Amino acid sequence: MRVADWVFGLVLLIGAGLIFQQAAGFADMPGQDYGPAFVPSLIATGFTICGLALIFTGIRARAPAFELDPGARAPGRIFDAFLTLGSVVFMMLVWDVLGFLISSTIVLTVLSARYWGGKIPQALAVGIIGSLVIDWLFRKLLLVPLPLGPLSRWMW
Amino acid sequence: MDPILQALWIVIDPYNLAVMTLAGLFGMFVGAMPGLTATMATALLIPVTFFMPPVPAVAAIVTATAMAIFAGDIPGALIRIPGTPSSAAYVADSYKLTQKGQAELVLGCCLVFSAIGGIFGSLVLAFAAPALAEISLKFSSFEFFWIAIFGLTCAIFISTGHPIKGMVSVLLGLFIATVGIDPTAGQPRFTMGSVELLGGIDFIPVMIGMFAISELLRWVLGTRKVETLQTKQLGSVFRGQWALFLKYKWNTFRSAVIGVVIGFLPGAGSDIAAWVTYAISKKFSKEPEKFGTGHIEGVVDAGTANNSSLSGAWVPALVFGIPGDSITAIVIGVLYMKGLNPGPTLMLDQPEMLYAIFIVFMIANIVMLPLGWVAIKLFRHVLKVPREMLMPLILMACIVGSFAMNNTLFGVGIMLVMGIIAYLMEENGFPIAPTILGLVLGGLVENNFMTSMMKADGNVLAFFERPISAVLGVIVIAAWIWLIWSMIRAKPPLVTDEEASVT
Repeated sequence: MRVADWVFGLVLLIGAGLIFQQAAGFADMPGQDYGPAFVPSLIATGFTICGLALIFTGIRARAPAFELDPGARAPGRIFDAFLTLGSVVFMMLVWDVLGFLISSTIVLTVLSARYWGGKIPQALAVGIIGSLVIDWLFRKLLLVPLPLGPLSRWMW
Repeated sequence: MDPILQALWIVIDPYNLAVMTLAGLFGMFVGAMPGLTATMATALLIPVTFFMPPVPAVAAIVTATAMAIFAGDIPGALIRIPGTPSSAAYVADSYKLTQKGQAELVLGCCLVFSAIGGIFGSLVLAFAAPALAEISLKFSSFEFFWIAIFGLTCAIFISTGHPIKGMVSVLLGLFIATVGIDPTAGQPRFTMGSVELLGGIDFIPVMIGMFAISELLRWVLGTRKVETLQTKQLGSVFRGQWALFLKYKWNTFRSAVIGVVIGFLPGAGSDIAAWVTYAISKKFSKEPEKFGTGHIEGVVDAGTANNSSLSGAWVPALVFGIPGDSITAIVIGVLYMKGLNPGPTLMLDQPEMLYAIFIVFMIANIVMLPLGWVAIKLFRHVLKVPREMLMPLILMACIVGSFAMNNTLFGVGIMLVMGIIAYLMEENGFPIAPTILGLVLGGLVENNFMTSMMKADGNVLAFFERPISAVLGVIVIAAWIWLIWSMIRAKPPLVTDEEASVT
């Protein structure tokens, strides 16, 4: 997605303002000229300069504020992007309730079915085998405590 | 026992060799697959290396990246799509050579000269790092402050895209580094009341988000064209390479040296090394008109340089703790996690570790020849792996990897946010490697500045009182003046559409 330079510039200026506002509340270092607010303030100053430069060049370039790339204009691409990002959020929401294996199987199956244009059997295979392999690799081999959810009663 | 022998024992441990082989195959696969980069290979490897002893962890990263940079040449030569950005400089030449029926020659050339570049870079690393470490032992917070600032300066001005956008990228990294409890006064900064942000933003999820999730989004929103292989079965790729080496030995040496030097400079990685040496090669060639029409000379030069820069980038990483590119930025994080503090003291405290890393580099670049041969033979099958299946699996590996760092979902959230930010940045001409450098160097810059100011009682001129520090300071300031001056005079457009679309 193309975003005009002046939009970035505006975001930077707002960010710089927030940093300055927060940094003003930081405690001073007793007996020191440079405290915890020093570096953040420098960064915010940098953001301000860059933000102004981007606004200046962005306005001169006269580009629309937001524009989709030709590839992303194909039907369903935007939906796919939101589905991909949404699946990460979904994983975070159901992580403990459903456990890793179940939620990962759902996400992998749905995503590959969607990308693949509805090849359900193949997608289901990716979902089940992929989840089992990742679970084995991380939970059994690397001892990452991936939650089992309702499966904890039966699983090894 | 002699540290070199000790290092050899650590490296030839069967576990380590097994890890290197697997990492090599993984690197070959990721590099050969168009759209997946060497940095992405590294980011995906970290969660796994997290659970390994230090030497196998580093060995896995070294082997995987060396292989990935070479393997990126294969799709470039055969289907005109560079597997990694480092192969982009000479893709026109290598593909046209394939069309002329010289696929074996060009693939063999990529493989052999990648290995030569890599071995040259490893030798420089082995000799330069200990010598530089000796000098840098005399450094104090003043010198380290300037070196870190110099690193950030390079990151802004050498990276692709416009300097203003490079600067925004560095500042973003520096800002992320300030989140959490401030190191000198204990003041919580930008934590928004969150307990998890108190400890700062862990840079591994940031890295996974910026290098893997953003790639994934680009694929999802891209054209998703299916590439097909035109060439028939390939013959021997090693035939004719010796003659090529004899003909271009001077080119090879020149490009290997330039590659290492570009590798040294923070912010400039193997892709920039390839572009620069390709341009130099064309300038000094006896037949510059042939470049771009299927001429092997540029492939020799740039193919050597992108691998030698990979080793070159490790010199500042191991000696000063300052990364030479985004891959070594990740490595520095891994070394810290493993309790190996990159910097001059590593040579004093754990010389066997340093030697082990050098040996690993050597082995990785030698093993590249047989593994690369296999990769060329199997490329037909790599291309058949459906991306529709691979991408969801990569997404899942990213989620689990980000979770595994601290065993909290907080990392997954960071990964998601940074992935979206990195996607928007790259699509609009903001380079993302400087963000990573800013994030890694942010703490270093601030700590060394604060320590120096405490020592000097707030006198900023103290940064110019020690000889080395003064020289470094003058170099940094001169670089800024020169660059700002040339920017004002040249007034380049911020980023043209062509530049922005190159990733």
